[in-house]
Amino acid sequence: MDVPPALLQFLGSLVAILALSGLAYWLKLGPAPRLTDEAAARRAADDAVSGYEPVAIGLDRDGRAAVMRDAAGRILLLRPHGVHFAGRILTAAARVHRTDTELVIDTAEKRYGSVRLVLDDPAAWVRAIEAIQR
Amino acid sequence: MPDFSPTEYAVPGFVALVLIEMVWAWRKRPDAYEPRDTLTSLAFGLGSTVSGLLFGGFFFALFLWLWEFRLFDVPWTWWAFALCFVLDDLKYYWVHRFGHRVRWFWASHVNHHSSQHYNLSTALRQTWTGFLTLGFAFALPLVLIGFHPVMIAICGGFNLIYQFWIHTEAIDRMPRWFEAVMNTPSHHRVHHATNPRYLDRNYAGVFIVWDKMFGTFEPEVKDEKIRYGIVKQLGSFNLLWAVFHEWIGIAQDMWRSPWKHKLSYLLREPGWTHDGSRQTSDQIRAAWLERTSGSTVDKPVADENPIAGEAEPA
Repeated sequence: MDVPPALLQFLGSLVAILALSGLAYWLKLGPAPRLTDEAAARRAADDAVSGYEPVAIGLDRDGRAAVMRDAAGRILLLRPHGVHFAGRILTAAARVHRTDTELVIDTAEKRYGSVRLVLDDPAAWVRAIEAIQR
Repeated sequence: MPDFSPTEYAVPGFVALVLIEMVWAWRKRPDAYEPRDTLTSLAFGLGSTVSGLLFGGFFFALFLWLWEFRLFDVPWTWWAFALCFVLDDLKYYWVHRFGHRVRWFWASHVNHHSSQHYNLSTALRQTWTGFLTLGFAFALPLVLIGFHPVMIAICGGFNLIYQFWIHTEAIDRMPRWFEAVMNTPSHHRVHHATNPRYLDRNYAGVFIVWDKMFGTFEPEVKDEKIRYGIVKQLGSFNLLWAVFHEWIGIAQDMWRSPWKHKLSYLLREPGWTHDGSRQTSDQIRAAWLERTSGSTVDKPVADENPIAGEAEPA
């Protein structure tokens, strides 16, 4: 069977990229990020939205995510994206609900999705997020 | 299409260097790579070659047709190749600058910037949708001067190969004379950064002198940690979303906006909105300058491997 050179090159390249990505996985590259304290959350917030200065921070107990509010009332949600964090300013389309142990915040942005946090004062954050829905 | 493509010959070298950089990351900077990010970036590279095969022939045929109307007969000599390489790099600077300053072009070029990592796999994160922009038009003057399209394609290939190695945090600074003239890892880290001071700077391909000539040069600051990616980070490793998100964003903005503003969402700079709900890079930088004197201090990149020793930046 004659395999067209372009197809052969494509398949060879596909094998190579899968092998390289597999190697990165096997070497355990890309450690999960953690927000160790509020200072780390502030830095991550400024990384996500330049100039964002939180006046209140809800830090997940394991440092997996954070929700925060600035003086203008903008609520920023941070969650891991690979090794780094990706943030979103919540819009009126955002939804929030509580489970027994977690606060679940849905940005209403399909590709960003929802974030689960274990917070010290989840009720306050439910109120804050419901406030921007109005 | 030309029979000789330097980038095809370079692929084994690309793979080998990514491997070497992964070993460096494993030993010194495990956060420099992330398997899903690597897979996405490399899939971009593979897809871009398919896109090039499907659509590149059309533009090459267009160039060949236009070449018939050339002003001069540029010979196939070493000096013609050298001149073509320099002029092609000047062309690259302007294509690249438009790629950042016109949202229509950015929709394609954003693919190269949407990783929050900066490593050799990022270099291969190339667009699938370049054919939808007018990037090809920037090569028309070269064709009409009389450089053969094959010569231009070969020079463009070598230009891309050069740009591969500068996508790394493993190299700190090159010797001063080299940093002064050539694009380097340090200069190009600035280009991939989202730090306000670095936004839309250092568009060069091979020669950094173009940025110095046209006022877009920004040196890497030793004590400021670089954040890579785009102003609104993707937050997803979904390949198709990564490829098309900005095109979808343009379509949504044009659909929702009043008639008189629709075209601006295509032709103005990324971040522009008619209601001021988002910020352009100029606005982000201006706000940052207002807030601070610009003296943020954090851990710089590549302290672990200053390949050029104690070389001072240019």
